[in-house]
Amino acid sequence: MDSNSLFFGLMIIGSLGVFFYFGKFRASIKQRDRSNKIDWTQSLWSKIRSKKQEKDD
Amino acid sequence: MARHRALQMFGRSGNPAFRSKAFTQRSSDFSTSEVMTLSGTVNKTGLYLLLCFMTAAWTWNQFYASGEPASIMPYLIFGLIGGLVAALITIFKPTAAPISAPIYALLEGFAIGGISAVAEASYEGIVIQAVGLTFFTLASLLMAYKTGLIKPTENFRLMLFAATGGVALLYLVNFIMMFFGASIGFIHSNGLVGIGFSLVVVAIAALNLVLDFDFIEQAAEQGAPKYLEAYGAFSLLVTLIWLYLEILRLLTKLYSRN
Repeated sequence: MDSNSLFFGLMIIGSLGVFFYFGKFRASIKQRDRSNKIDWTQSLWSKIRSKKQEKDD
Repeated sequence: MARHRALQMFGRSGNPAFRSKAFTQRSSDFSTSEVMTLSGTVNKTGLYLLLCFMTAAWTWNQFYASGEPASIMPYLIFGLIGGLVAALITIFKPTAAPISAPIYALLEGFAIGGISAVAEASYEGIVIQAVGLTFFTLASLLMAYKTGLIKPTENFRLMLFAATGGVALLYLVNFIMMFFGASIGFIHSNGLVGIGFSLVVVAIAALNLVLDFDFIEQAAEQGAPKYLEAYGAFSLLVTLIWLYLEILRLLTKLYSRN
C-alpha cells in the first residue's frame, strides 16, 4: 500500500468514525437555543415573498 | 395518511423547506417507533452510502475487467437517468423516501463508479483522495455545526440557495451549449479561473451540508415523522455525491496542470 492510499484511507476511516459517532449526539445548546434559527416550517418562497412584502410596505 | 402530506421541497441539493404539519407535529402525536431520531438518520445515511458503494464497485470492476470506457456507458447512463428519476420522486413525494432513497443510492452508485474508474485510469490515486477529502469535509462541518461554530440562519439559507441556483443554471446552460458543440470555457479549464471556479463550487456544495445537518437536527428535535429519517439521509447523500464529484473535478484540473 502506498503512502497516498494509507493517508487518505485513514482519513476516510477517521472521518466516517466521527460522523457515525458524533452524528448521533444533539447539537450544543449554543446551536439549539438561538433566536435566528432557520424556520423549516416555512418554504423559502414564502419567506422571500414576506420579505418583499415587508419592503413594499 | 393526511398527516404525512406534509412537505414541500425546494432547491437543487435536496435541502428541504418544510411548509406544513409534519415538521410541527410533536412526538406525542406518534408512538416512539414512528418518530424521527438522529441515530436513525445517521444509520440510514450509512446504509445508503454502503448501497452506493456496492454498485459503484460493480461498475468500477466492469471498467477494469474490460479496459474499455465504452463498456461502462450503459451503467453510467442508466445510473444518471434512473438516479434523477428516483431523486425527483423522493423530492416531490417525501413519504416514498424509505423506498426511493435506497433506490437512488443504488442507481447513483452505477454512475459514480463509472466516473471514478475513468478518472482513476487517467490519474492514479485521485479517487481515494477525492473520497477522503469528501468525508473529511463532512466530518469537519458536522463538528463545526454541532459545536455551534457555524450557525445557519435564514440569510445563510437564502444566500446558499441563490449560489446553488446560480451554479445549477450555469451547468444547465453549459449542458445545452454542448449540443451545439460549444461550452462555457472556465467550467472545464485548468487555468486559475477554472480552478477558482471549482473551489467556489466545492465551498457551496460543502456549505449545503450545514443546511442538511440543521434540517435533520431540527426535525429530530421536533419529533417529525419516521419517514423523514430516510429523507434526511437522502438529502445528505445528494449533497455528498455532489461534493464528491466537484472535488474530483477540482483534483482532475490540478492533476492535468502537471
